[in-house]
Amino acid sequence: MSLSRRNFLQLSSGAAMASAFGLPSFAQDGPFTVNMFGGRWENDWRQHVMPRFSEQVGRPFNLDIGMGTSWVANFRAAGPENPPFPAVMLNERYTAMLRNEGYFATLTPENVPNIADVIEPAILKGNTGVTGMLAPLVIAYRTDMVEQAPRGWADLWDERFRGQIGLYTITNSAAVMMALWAAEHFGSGRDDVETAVAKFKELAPFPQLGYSAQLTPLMMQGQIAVAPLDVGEVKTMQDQGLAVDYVVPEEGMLVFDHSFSVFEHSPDRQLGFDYVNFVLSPETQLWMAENWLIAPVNKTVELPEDLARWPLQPELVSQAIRFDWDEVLTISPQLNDLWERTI
Amino acid sequence: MTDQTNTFGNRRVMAPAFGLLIVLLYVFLLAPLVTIVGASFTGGLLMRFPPEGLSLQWYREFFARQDLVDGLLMSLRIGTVTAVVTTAVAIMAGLAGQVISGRWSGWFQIGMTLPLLVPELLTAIGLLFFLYKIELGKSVIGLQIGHILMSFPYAYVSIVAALRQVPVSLEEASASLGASGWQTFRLVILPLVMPGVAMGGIFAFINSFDLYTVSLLLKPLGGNTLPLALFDFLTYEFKPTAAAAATISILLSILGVALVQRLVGLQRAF
Repeated sequence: MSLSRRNFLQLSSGAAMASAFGLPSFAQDGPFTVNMFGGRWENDWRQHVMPRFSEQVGRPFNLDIGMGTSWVANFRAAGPENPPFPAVMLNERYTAMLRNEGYFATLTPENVPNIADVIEPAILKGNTGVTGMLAPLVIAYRTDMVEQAPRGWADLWDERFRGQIGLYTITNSAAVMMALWAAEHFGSGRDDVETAVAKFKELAPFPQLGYSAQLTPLMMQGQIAVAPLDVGEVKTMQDQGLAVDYVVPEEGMLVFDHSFSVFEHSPDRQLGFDYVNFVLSPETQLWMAENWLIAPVNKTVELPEDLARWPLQPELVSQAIRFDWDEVLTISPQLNDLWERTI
Repeated sequence: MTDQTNTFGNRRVMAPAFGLLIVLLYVFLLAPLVTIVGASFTGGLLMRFPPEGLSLQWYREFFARQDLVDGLLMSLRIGTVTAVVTTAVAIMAGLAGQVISGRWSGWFQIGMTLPLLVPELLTAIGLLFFLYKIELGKSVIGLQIGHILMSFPYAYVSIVAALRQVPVSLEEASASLGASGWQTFRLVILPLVMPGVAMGGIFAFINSFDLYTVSLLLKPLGGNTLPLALFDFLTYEFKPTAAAAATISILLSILGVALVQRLVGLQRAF
């Protein structure tokens, strides 16, 4: 068949009309929506977790895939009275931005029964959020490239690791947490950003990546030998046969914490409470531990023996170095600026 | 000036130098494409060039990943509607621009290309608040509006350039022979500007297919475009599947150019 100009115009118009007729399938009523990160997180949540909740509440679901910055921008544009969906998962640094602006409902054992079983550090300020996913951040290292394993965060400044370290860009909360730890450890307190940045400057040059999944290939290729990584990445490399191990830093491990909150003014608020309750349930928490090496925050979860070698136990996680993200948000602008200009 | 010299000096010296410059330019333009296409066929687990062995496994994984395929389909759908709508509106704007004279003509041209002049992020934030005001936040229509707005100047510039090459005398001749305005447009002007129209549509499609910032802020509930899905993928899984997705995008762009060549001929479109 020859494609003439007339055919082209007809085809184009047809495609446009077909798309227009398809639009109602995206209507906002019907399925309820929750958010999740992309990649394997999305796939697993969509295939293995959400179908159980969907069946429980008798409604189909949508996943809104994205990242903290775009979600926060959308919630602010929508305003507290008009949230796009009923419950939200955010990194604690983003939750802190919204909670003081009246977006979130108070979580109590009455509306979220499983909250009664979570470890104390998981309950966030004003009961407006609860940490539902805790990803331990440890020091991973190549056993074939490092003679003596690091013991703690301070060892990253040891001469034996010079030129072998990979770290995060300051936009990642891991870099922020490490900087604040360094400010406290080497300086006068967590707000001593000059000392923190000066200490990281001593390690330069080092690769700075946005996410742990981007540091992993560098370690796999031997371009770096030591890096702060979440244990899920360590397991991925070990499963591929790489000579990689980790240590829980003696000063305490850091954690990527993802908190769950319910929007006070969502018409589907009860569904939001049900969803947070579902996330905190022993079944979901155990599923995340087994599949993602996420530390359970629900104290009633019994970890199977094959997970014992990972730092997921509630007593260990409770000792992790934590931060007041309201305080961090006041320090961040100066830290980011100095980091970007110096390193 | 002898045969051995030209504006830039000695031809014997300058010709190879220009040749080398052009080769370097092509290497600069094509090296990233060759790298990403090569990495997509790797048999290894890492995105690497040259590839470790040859395999189609990452293409299989791409089409097995619902998030990436859904992203591709949404980008194709949004891009197609964007191309059709921007082309139609740009033709109308181009015709309107021809009858505006004097200093208003310049302001009109600037107005039509404003989305190119304002940073994409600022336009996206403005649109985000506007769309929530009119209750189109987080909807496909809202995202579609954003893509049309950002892609419109590409179609407009191409179509206006084509319209300017149509002699006014042809319109006058058509009218003097009794043709209505619509008949003149359909039977005289449109066939003559078709290369520019097709090129404008292709530019609009490709621009829409690549938009990231606008899509990030305006994307609908439960929907992702391919660039967003790819960024998410690279954030959490740094695997050669992303290279396969990029190669498919490149193929789609080449397909678009081939379509223009088939319909109107590339030499007529520029």
